[in-house]
Amino acid sequence: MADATFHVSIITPDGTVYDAESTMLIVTTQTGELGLMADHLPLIAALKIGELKVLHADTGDHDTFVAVNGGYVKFNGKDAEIIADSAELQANIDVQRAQNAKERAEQSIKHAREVNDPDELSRAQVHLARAVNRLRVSNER
Amino acid sequence: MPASLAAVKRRLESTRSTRQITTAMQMVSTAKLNQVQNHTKTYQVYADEVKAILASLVKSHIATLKNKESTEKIAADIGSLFDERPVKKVGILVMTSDRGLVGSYNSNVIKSTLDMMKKNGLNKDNTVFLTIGKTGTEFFKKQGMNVVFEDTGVSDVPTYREVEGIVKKAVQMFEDHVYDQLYISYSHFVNRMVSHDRTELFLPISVKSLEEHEDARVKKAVTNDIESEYELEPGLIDMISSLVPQYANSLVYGAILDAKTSEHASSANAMKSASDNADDIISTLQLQYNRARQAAITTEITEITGGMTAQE
Repeated sequence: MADATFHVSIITPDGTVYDAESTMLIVTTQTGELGLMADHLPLIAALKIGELKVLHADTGDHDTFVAVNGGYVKFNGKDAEIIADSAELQANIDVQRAQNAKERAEQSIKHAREVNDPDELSRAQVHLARAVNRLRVSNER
Repeated sequence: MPASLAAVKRRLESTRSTRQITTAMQMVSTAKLNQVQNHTKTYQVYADEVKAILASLVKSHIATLKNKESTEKIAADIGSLFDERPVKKVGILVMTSDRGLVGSYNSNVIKSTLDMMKKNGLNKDNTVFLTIGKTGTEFFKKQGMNVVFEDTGVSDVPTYREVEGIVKKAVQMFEDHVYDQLYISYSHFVNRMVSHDRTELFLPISVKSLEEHEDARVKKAVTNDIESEYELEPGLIDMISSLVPQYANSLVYGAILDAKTSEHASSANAMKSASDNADDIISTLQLQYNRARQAAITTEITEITGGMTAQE
């Protein structure tokens, strides 16, 4: 039996990044990975900086990988909306930029440790997590 | 006719070419205005969504506090951005343009900022400035104000990714107690002819306005509050505290977009009135030119006929 599909859209301040049907959605929430299928209980979950997978078993299309920076997912059983301040499809990730960001973040972590600045450290760690996440998503197959 | 033919012709030509430039600039500004308006539309979808959810969750959180404690209690629970602490320092984010040729856009924003400072008894000792745009930065520096953050060169249609640094910085400084209140002074776009300059309090976030927003939504949509409809992962309080920064960022970004929209509208208007003025001048000069030419011809004919009479 073909799996039931539901609608997935990813909304950011710079517009709707993704908008299509899917059979299963896998998100990284703050408490761990979470898979959503059609008619799942209505749910709102806060997301971590992480990977988001949209599976298309029904059409046999390739799965879609997205790098999401926080935000949350709101799912009512038929429509899943991901509201995040930024999200990039695998194809749109600027690998070079992410690589540079990663190096920059590593340097400022080192610097923050030297001068003992907890604020700078935590900010740099967020930057690092984002960069690493982008790089990881860009390498998914 | 006092004006010489050649002088009038020169002025006429120079006014014509100025008019050409201002018309072109008007079209450019109108195009940019359209772009930024489209972008604002997509942003609005996002902002409304975030606000609706946060408002609903905050409302249910308040309902769970049985003996309605003060808002300070709420703040302590769900995040420092609600924190209404004694105001020792005020931060003002002023949005002006980098370029000129935008009519009274910049001077209005600056005036509204100064009015607000006067009204609230603010001076350079208890105010810090964050400025976006060259005009504002230069003005407040010249006044000897404490400009802690400045940025120029924000593009004509700023994406969230581009201005994320500015947005987060403004929110971060509030959390780091650089200031205890954040005002944003900008020009709010109403329509293509009208903008309102305002200086508004953005941080701390007002719990009351969120409550009102939620009340209005429930009244309109006849839906339940989000908490009873959806399962929350993680719990209510954690959810709110992770949403609050996202909401604050979206507010500041919204103000930046609004200001840019207004800037383009104001520039288009300024260029339109410049072109209209040029049209007026051209028609006056054209009249003068025709008269001067006619006078020259008349003189010439008089001379010729004069010469003829003399020969007879």
